[in-house]
Amino acid sequence: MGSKIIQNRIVNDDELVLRLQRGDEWAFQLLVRRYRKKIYAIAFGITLDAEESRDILQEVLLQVYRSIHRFRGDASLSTWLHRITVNRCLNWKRRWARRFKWMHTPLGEDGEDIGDVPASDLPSPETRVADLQTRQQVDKAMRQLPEAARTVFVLREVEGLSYEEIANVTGIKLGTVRSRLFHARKRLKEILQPLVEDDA
Amino acid sequence: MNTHQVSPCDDLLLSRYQDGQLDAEEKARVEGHLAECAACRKEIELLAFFSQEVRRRIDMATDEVDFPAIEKAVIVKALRQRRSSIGSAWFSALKVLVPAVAVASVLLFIGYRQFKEPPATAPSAIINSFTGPISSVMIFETPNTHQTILWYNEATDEEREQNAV
Repeated sequence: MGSKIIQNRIVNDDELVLRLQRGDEWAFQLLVRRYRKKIYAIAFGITLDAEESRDILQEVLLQVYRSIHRFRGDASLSTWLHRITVNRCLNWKRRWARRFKWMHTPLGEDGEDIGDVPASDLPSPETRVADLQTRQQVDKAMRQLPEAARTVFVLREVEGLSYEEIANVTGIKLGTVRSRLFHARKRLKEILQPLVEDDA
Repeated sequence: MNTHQVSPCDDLLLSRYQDGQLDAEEKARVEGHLAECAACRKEIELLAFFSQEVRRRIDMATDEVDFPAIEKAVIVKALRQRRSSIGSAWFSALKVLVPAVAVASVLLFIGYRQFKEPPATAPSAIINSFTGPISSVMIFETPNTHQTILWYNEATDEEREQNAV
């Protein structure tokens, strides 16, 4: 009954949390739909790995389902979700596995980076090739960023979080957010600018 | 090239400007500087371009994901977890409950027998007895004609001596 009523109107995050804490299964489905793309985008931005990002997305959602009764609302639901996602991405086992994989799998050889471009959606082979090149270049540049800088950069650029929100999610100081963003951009510029100039 | 009072062509300030993290005064100074500095304008354009490319890359990756399939898998796993957690709560409760009920039953049974059927104070008769050097056996006949056998060991002299030391 409650679930039927909730489907016909916009539910804010506070109400969503209450419903989740009451064990409303429909509320969980709503949470999944509301946040799945955001969580995946952050995970992919940090890991640059589609398979790992899918795993992280599932783990984050299941962790939320398990521990929602412990959520006290000190931070917003989205901040909490971002925090869980970043922690999962920066889990030390994952970091080591990623580092190992990147060292042993050059860009374009793992199939995920190059081979999975949906054919029908793209207008021309030229566009596809250009897209692949862009993907490779951006992936290469992002991989060269230190993990901490990449995380801050992704939260800012992909999620559009403010410096304060990034500090809340990552547990670092505002000044550190500022400097990590600056260094991430500087490094990206160093890597990508020559490529842009070559194209011109 | 630079008109504002902060350091000339300040990249850190440009980065914050791009993020909309400057106060009104800082913003006005940066914009004044940008109006005159072509290098900083290019820098801003480049930063915006790189950001856009990163976002585009992540959007491309996100577009390739089968989210409905992931949603289905997550919901199935969540419900399974819930059922198993309910099941394990029941199981935990049963682990305490079953022994508690068993002990309570035994205590009740003993108590009931104590009240209703006080044990015979003494056997009515010794039916038979055997005495040996190591152990002895006595067979009693109880009031309800049940037979009770007592078997007791006697310590040898040697053991008695050892125990006494």
